[in-house]
Parts: sequence; C-alpha cells; structure tokens
Amino acid sequence: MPDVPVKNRRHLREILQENLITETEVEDRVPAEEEDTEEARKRTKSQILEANVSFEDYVVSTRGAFEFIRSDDSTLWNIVFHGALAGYLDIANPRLWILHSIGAALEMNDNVRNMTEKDNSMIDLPWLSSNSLERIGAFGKTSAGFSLRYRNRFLETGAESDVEDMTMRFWGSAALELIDQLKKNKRIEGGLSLNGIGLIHEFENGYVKEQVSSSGRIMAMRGDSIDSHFSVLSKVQTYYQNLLNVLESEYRFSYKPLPHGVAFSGEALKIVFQRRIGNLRDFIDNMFSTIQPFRLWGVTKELEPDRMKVKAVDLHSGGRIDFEIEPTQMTIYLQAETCANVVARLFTNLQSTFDARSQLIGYDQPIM
Amino acid sequence: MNAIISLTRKEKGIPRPLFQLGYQLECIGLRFPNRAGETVNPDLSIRGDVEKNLLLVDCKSGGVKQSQAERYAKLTSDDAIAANITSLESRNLVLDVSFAGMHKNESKLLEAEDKNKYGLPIIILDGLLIQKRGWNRFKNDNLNAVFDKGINLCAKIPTGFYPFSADDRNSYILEEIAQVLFEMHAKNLEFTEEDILLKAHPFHDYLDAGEKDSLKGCIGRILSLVEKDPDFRFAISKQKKWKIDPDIGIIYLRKGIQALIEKWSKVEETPKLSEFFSRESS
Repeated sequence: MPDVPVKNRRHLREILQENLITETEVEDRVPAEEEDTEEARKRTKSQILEANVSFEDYVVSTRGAFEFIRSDDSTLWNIVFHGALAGYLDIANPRLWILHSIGAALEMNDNVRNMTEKDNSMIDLPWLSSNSLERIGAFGKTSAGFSLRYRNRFLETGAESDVEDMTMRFWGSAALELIDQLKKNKRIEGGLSLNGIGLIHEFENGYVKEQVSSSGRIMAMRGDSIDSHFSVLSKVQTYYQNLLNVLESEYRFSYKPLPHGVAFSGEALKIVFQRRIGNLRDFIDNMFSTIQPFRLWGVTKELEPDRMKVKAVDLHSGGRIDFEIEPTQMTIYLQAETCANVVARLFTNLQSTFDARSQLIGYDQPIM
Repeated sequence: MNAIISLTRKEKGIPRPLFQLGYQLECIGLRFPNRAGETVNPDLSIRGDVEKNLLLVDCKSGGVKQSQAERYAKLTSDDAIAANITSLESRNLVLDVSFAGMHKNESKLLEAEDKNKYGLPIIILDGLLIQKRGWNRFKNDNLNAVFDKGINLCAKIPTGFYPFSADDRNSYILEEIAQVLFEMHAKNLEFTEEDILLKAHPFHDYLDAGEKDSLKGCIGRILSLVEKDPDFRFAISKQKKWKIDPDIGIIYLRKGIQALIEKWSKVEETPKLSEFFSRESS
C-alpha cells in the first residue's frame, strides 16, 4: 500500500479509482482463481465497521495501538498501524464507519481484527446473514457469483452430523438461480449459508464487479468506476442501518420513566430453526462460553426439561440480552440500550454454524 | 406479571387475546394518588383503545391488605384522568381494576373478597391457564369473555418482560442479577445491594419501600451465601459493600454462578418436610 495519507475526499476518490483501474489490468493479465491468491491482491476494498462509540472516545481507547492522521475533512482520517498506513477511515455515518484500503486483503483483515476483536472494543463488524447477502446480491444489475461456508460447531458427541461442513465458490451470472437450485437439495440445504455474494453494479457510465462478504467487506474485483463502488457501499450501509434501526426501535426494550410509572415498549424476537437442538445444555455451553464468533457470556437456568433461560452479556459492548431456548427456537429479549448488532452477529453465525435455514422472526415475519 | 404482560404482546406463537382486542401495555409499576390523596400502586396499566377501557392489574403473590383493596375498590375513571395516568381520551373512559394471582395464593385472594366484598375481579394463573375466578365481573364485556373462558398459555410463560420479585427463589434471582455481577466484575467496582437492584430491576423507582427492602434483603442474602460457599466464593464483603473477587476471570465467574444456580435449584426443588406433611394431611 503506498504510504500516502489522503488530504480530502477528492484525493481519496482519486487514489481508490487509480487502484481500481490498475488492479483490473492485473486481473486481466493474471486472473485470481484461488482464494489465497486473491487475499494477497491489493484490490480496492472497503470494510464497514459498526461503532458503538464516538470517534473521539475510540481514538483515546486505542491510543498506542493505532494512530489517526487528520485530513481536511473532519469525518475522514488516515489510520496508521505499526508505523504503516493501514487505510482511510470514513466516519461520516457515526454508527457505520467505512475503512477503505488498497493494501493486501490479508493485511486489512488483520487490521480489522485488531480493531474489533478485543472485549469491549465497541467496534464490531456488520453481520450480513445468508438471507441479507441474497438481498444485497439483487442490488447489482446482474449477479456475479457467491461463496458459501458452513462449519458445524454444534456436533453432538457420538452422534452423526445431520449437516456436513461445506464450502463452495461459484463465479458467474447465474449465481442467484444456482442458489435457488441448491436449496432444493435436502441433503445440503441445512448448510447452504452464504458468506459472500458477487454482483455487477453500474453507475452512470461506469461499472464495478464487487464481492460483498458476510462480515461487511466490499471488494472491487474489477471495474472502471469508483463511484459505482461508492454506490454499492452506500446501499449496503443503508440496508444495514435500516436493519439496526428496526431491531432497536421495535424489538429492543425501552423503559421510559413517567411521573406515575414506567412506560414499557419492545417485543421479543425469535430465531426459528429447521434443525433440532439435540442437547440444549451442550448447545448453550458452546454458544455462551465467550468464544468467537458469538462473543457472548451467559448463565442458564432450566425452566422446563426442554426450555432454558439464559441471561447473557455481549462482550463486544457489554450490553445485556436474555434468551429462552428450546430445541427448535430461541426467544430473544434485547434489553434497553443493548446494541442490536449482537442479534445480527448471533443470527448470521447460527446460520453458518448450526442451521442455514434458520429464520429471524419479529412479530410474525422474517426480519433478515 | 410476565404471563399477564405476554397477553398484550404482538408476537405470534403465544396467545395474545388482549392485543387482538386492541389492548396495549401502557405502564409497568404505577404509583399515583386517587382524588382523596391516597396512593395506589398497581403493577400494570393496559389500555384498550377500541373500547376506551383502562385495565389496572395488581399482581399479588400473597393476600390483599384491606386498606389497599378498599382504595382500589373506590378508584374511578375520574381518578385515573385526574392523575393523568393514561393517554386514552378521557371522555367515556371505563376503568377496570383487577387482582392477579397464582394458584398458590388463590384462596387468600378469594377469601379476602368473600369477607370484604370489594367487587374486584380476580384472575389466576393456574398451571398454564389464566382465568377469572369468583363472581366479580369486569365492566368491559370483552374482558369478561376472555377471562371467563380462560387463556391457555400453551406450555410457555415468557420470562423476559419483568425481572424478579422478592418471592422468587434464590437460584432465579442469582440468574437475574448475574449480568450486573459480570458488569461489576468487568469494571472492578465495589457495590451495595441497592446498586445491584438499581441496575437489575428497571422498575426499581416504582416499587414501594417495603418491596424494595425485601429485594435488597434477597440480594444481600444471596451474596452472603456466595461468600460462604465452600466451592465458589467469588463474592467478597468489604465494609457494607461487596466486590467480585478480582483474581477470577469471566469464565470462572460464569462457571461459579452456573454451579450455584444448579446447586440451589436442586435444594429448592426438594419439598420441605413441612410442605410434605401438609400435603399428606390434606
């Protein structure tokens, strides 16, 4: 990555555009066919970050780890990590920041991990479920591919798995049709969890071919228009912002003190599974033992033989979230002020590690 | 409390007859004066927009104090309007007041009614059935229809809307305060029983003084039990304050709380000798 801090948005646009053209030429000469090769490429890419902290507080909390160099625009910053320029951070949307990079994807992944993984980091990835990625795939003029990855984290000791681990990558315009076809296969449908979607997006007279990952990284594979890349970014950002808004306005508990009592609002959410949880205790132990990707700490109490209550804490933000878990569904009570990103993280990861067919239901219809 | 609240929710999959009749939960933990200046303290206000009907429910775990019941019996829609406790239009407002209890205290509630004739409907959660008992009627016929017939909660009483009361068992309350203990540990803070109550109970400010004291007593008792536990002594008392042992990690804290919940649950589920003999003699 060239060690050039951006001065302003125009400068950022020029750097990203130039890199997009250069990398497209490289792609024409040497198409990246393997994921490893691709991750070493220095494509133009942007990572959405979900922030539960003001930028000023974040800078203070990460002092010593990251250095932030100001641009002429107060919402655009250069990030330096270990003395090297790590990317350009756009905080114009205070909830969903964007980290742009023209370095190797592997380096960017490391930097993002450093920003998000620590307990109470208050910065998280956006979590795009398999269903969300399918919707995002439709933002393009045509689909351009997909990748799926399913790792069964809930294997029961001694039992044969009903869903196998699987990975798949497909590049081509028939991606969405192929996904529909694959879903008809009973043997694999439980593991059909997308972790990336490709799309070709046109904007004004240019285009970009993008790969959007379930963790909110949008990578320009080729193209000639950085504005088209910005347009895709903006659409994904808006989609995710709307999702968080719905979860937090309708499904998060709110206690408003009034002179005569407390006005209560908020509804429960449900995740409904097609696959049955065999051993509730093991499942809960696995999910609430603080490990990645769930990042939940929780204690449980049996309500009935097949129904457990869990009081949990989101380690990303310290927010409280309660559950009632049964073999085929979990009810979620998002407590006041808890960041709804925990719901998206949980649901997306349950799709990719337990049941790809699970649905997040609010009132009576799927939410994401 | 959770069972009654669940009847007002939008969520499909649980019976929600009050929601279907246009009722919404308006407030939890009410405290307001009637026009004579006496304070009433119902737990829930449920607003029926269609019929301009305000339903106040006082959830009881034991009997009813006579003075309290008399205040409820005298309460009119004019009191509710004067205290400005509802956003319902005041003209033609119909006020219903009800006691809610469980099978274990049903006889106490019915006896108090038989003796003093307050005229307030009594709804009881018996197993999974919520039903009106006794002869008193709501002013609103829809409520009579719903509660006379009874509502079967289909094997699931939601637990997430209301936190805990002093009648709950130690294992239940320990689980309810676990998230706050985690927070105190993560921030390495010293805390009192009141600090825990404030953070774990969103309706703290609206509980009456007696109930607040009972809850603080429960929390103190639980922390003392933790401090004395031979296996998991993660709570430490320090001059009227508490602290979670700073040398333990969050995984150990989880393991400790979990182990105590399970240990206490087993003891709580074992019938006491007195209960056994009273059951045998009946």
